[in-house]
This record gives sequence, structure tokens and C-alpha cells, in this order.
Amino acid sequence: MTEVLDIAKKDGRWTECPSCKEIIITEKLEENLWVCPHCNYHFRLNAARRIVITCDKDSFAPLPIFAADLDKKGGSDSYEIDNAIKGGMARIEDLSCVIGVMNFAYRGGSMGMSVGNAVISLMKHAKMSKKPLVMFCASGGVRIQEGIWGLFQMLRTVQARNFTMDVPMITVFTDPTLGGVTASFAALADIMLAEPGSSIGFAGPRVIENTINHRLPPNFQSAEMLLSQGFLDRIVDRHQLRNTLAYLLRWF
Amino acid sequence: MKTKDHDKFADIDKALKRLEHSISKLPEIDVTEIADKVKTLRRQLYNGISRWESLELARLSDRPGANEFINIIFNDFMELYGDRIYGDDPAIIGGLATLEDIPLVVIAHQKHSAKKRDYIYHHYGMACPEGHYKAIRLMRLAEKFDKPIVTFVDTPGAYPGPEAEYKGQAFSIARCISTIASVRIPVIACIIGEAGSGGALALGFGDRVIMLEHAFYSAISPEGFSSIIWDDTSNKETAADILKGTGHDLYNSGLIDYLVKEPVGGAHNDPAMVMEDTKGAIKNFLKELSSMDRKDMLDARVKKIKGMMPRD
Ligand SMILES: [Zn+2]
Repeated sequence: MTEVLDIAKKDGRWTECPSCKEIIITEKLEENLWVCPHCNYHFRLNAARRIVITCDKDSFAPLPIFAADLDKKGGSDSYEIDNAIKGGMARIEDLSCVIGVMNFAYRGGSMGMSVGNAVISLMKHAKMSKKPLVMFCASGGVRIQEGIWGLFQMLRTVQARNFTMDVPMITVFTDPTLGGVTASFAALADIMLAEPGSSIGFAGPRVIENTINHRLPPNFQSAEMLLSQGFLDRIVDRHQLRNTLAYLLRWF
Repeated sequence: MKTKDHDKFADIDKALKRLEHSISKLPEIDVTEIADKVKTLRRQLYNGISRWESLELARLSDRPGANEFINIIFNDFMELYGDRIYGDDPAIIGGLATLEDIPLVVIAHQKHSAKKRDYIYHHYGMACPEGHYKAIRLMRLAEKFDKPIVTFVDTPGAYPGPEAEYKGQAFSIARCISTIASVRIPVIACIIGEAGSGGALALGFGDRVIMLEHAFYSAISPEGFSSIIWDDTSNKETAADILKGTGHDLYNSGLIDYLVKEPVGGAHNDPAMVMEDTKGAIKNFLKELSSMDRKDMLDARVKKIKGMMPRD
């Protein structure tokens, strides 16, 4: 029996929930927006899938800087952007907005120069087109391999936000959003939402455990903790996200 | 560990001094050649120091801290406490001062007070949200009364503890960076020691940025970099070379406006010289910024931030 299970897991037909360990038929999981039907665990999503489940069908149109032709091999930058963050115009329940989605699966969603530039151009585009900006965040922090240039993306994106404060901005924190992304543009939105169970904070849990020399409680840095501390507006189930975003887009 | 690294430099320095002394006692033979050689050795010892060694100097407990800079440069500092919301964070000190008749606001990371080794009290200069909110309210005070701001940065990073997270560390840093980038008055930042991650950036930007040559400004400490990339801290020297965070590195990248030379062996060997140089730079920049049209100054700040990308 376990062998059958392993084969089914390997070829992707069945998926194990990392939270409750139940085995779920992948097709059913897909239908359920990658939310575990047993324990409500929200699986991490890549940017492409996030766009599919959030935007109206075929409404997503990538901005030029995101739509660089990869076949031309036009330098590492376009490759980098295409993998690290997706962004463009979209509609949610027929309401148009600018949407940006960070991709944790690619280099931990870290923010280096190209991601910084992408975030800045999304903000500019939202201002020019007078549309609200919806940012799905997922990041381990600044791209440390870029040294000081990575760190200064915090300053550059914050400044871009300072100059587009009149643009309505919604941040949706997804699992996990830590470090320099939480501590820069993401925290400067007008409305801050989070998916249930997401890890959100500044320092990584391992670093904090090293500081205090003991283990952290399981809900530490969870969306639920942040909500009760007063830092989030709402925690929104993935099934309610389209509704909620549409409500906000209508309200603005 | 820090003391041991300090001893390494101090011992070599002492040995060189003894050697110089002995040489001077040998008048009957021509010693100029040997003396020159020792001089070169001494220069090589410090000029050729690696980035990692530079950071070691930035971390020395003898290195002058923010309050020493403040007391020597301004001499009438009046500290103001508290964030007006929740508490007071001794990791960030701030208040009022004048520099040759120019009233201004000073905000700084404080690792420990001079002579007292009260690191624990000051959290090693690692700020909690209270510290960032104190900085924000002092910046707003400066802005309201049209006084320039001078900051001093000396921190390994923002405090990585549970209390800080419960009080919204990330949110406080974001707002502090947003404020320092948008206040409509001249801001001068002085990077005097360690300047790590978002915690440093919270005070580490201005219309003009001054940096000491052995200060180290980076996204993460070399040890942290090494343990993330190679799973342990043993590659910290290589990490320091990748991070390129010394005063010289940042000056060569065009990210800072004035590089303060340190005496041989580091700032602690001649604090007066370092502070005189820093004071002079602050004075010149204040004069320059206050003579600028305010709108031009803010436009230049926008350009400065936008242009923070590698030149090639
Ligand atoms: Zn489950």
C-alpha cells in the first residue's frame, strides 16, 4: 500500500498536506485552490497559479518590463524578473487593478535590484493608470548576494511608495513574508491582508531562537499573532480573497 | 572573541613600537633603511587589511561610539527620551544640539556609553520598535521647526527578539525609512561603525552621507551571510569580500559623499582626529544644504535614491 502511495505522490496525483499529513488527491486540492480540505492549511503558491486563481479569466496582461522576450536571451535581468515576480494589469470581479505577485519558489522571493525595479515600476504604473495596486508578497527578505545594492532596494521601494501614496495599495501577506520586504514597501500599504497561517515578520525564526536561546511558540510571527497585535487589517481565507479584494477595489 | 581580535592588532602594534624604539637606539649604524622598512610594515599592516579585519575594527569596544561623537562635535547635547507611544529604547538616543549656532536634531544608535560597558542596557545598539518610533517623532520635530537632522549609525542590526516582533519590528522600520526619506529638511547621516541591515538603513540615509573608512555597511553580517550560503560561519572573510561594505567600497560605488580617514590601527587610536574630520564634513554639508533651495534639495534627494544602482 505504501508503495502505491509513494508512486502516486511522486507522479503528483496525490499530495501530502505538510500540516496534517493527510493524503489528498491533487486534482481535488487544485479545485480547492490548494487549501487542505482537512485542516485548512494554505499551500504556498507560485506566481502563475496565484494569478490564475485571483484574476478574472484571461484578464491578466503583463506589463512590458515583465513581458520581455525570453527567447532573445536579452540578458539575465528579464529571466530574473520573469521568475522572481510577475506583474501587470488585471481584473478582479470586473474591477481593474495593477497586480504584483512575488514568487517564493524562486530564490526565496528575495528582493534584489530587478525585483526592486519591478516593484517600483508597478507602483508607477498604478499611479499613471490611476488604478489600485494589489501586491501579493512572499519573501525571505533582501537578496543578500547583491550586498549593499540589495539592502538599498528597501529605500528605493519605500521612496517609490512615498511618491505614490495617493494610489490605493493593498498588501496581501502570504507564507512567508520576512525581512526587508515586510520592513519596506509591503508595510506601507493602505490595507494589509494575510492568508491564514502565514509567517510574517522581520527577523527569521532561527535568528530569533539564537538570540534568546530557546524555541519559539508555534504561532510566533503568524498572521493570527500579528492580527491580535494590531498590525493587520484582516486575515482572509483563500476562498474569500477574490470577494474581499473586489470589495476593496469597489470601495476605493 | 572581540577582545582577542583586538589584542591581535594591539600586540602587533606594540611589537612594531618596540622595534622602532630599539632601532632609534642604534645611532652608530645607518638605520634609516631599517626604520623605513618598519614604517612600510606598519602601513601594510593596516592599509592592506581585509574587509573582514575592517569590520573587526568597526566592532572594537574601544572604538568611539555615537555619544562620544555627539559630545565632542556638539558639546551642548540635550537628550530627549521616549517614543510618545509605548516606551524608551536606549539603543537609539536622540535630542537637541547646536553646531556653531545652528540648532539641529541628533539621532543615533548607541551601543554603550563611553567608558561604561553597558552593552546589555543599550541592547548593543539594536533597536526595537520604540527606538524607531522615537527616531520618527524626533525627525517630525525637526521638520516642524525647520531644523536639520544629523544621524550616527552604529548597529549590528535591528533587535532580533520576540518582544520586537510582537511590537511590529518590520512595520516600525518601514515607517522609519519612509520618514527619513521624506522629511522636508536637510538630513546628514554619519556611518561610524557597524551598519547592519534594515536596522542601519532606518537612520542610515541622508542628503549627504559621511562614512568612516573602517565602518561596515551591509545587508547582513558576514557571519550571517556565510551561515545562510555555506551553512556555517567559517567563510566570513569571503562573505565580507562579497558584501563589500567598507567605507572605501561605498565611496567607490558613489553611495557616500565623504570618507573619513582613520588613523593607523583604527579610529580609537586618535578619536580627536576622526571627530574633527567628521565635524568639518558635517559643517560643510550643512552650509551647502542650507544654502540650497529646499525644493532643489528634495529633488536631488529623489535623484540620489533613484540612482542607487551600480554604475556599470
Ligand atoms: Zn491538512
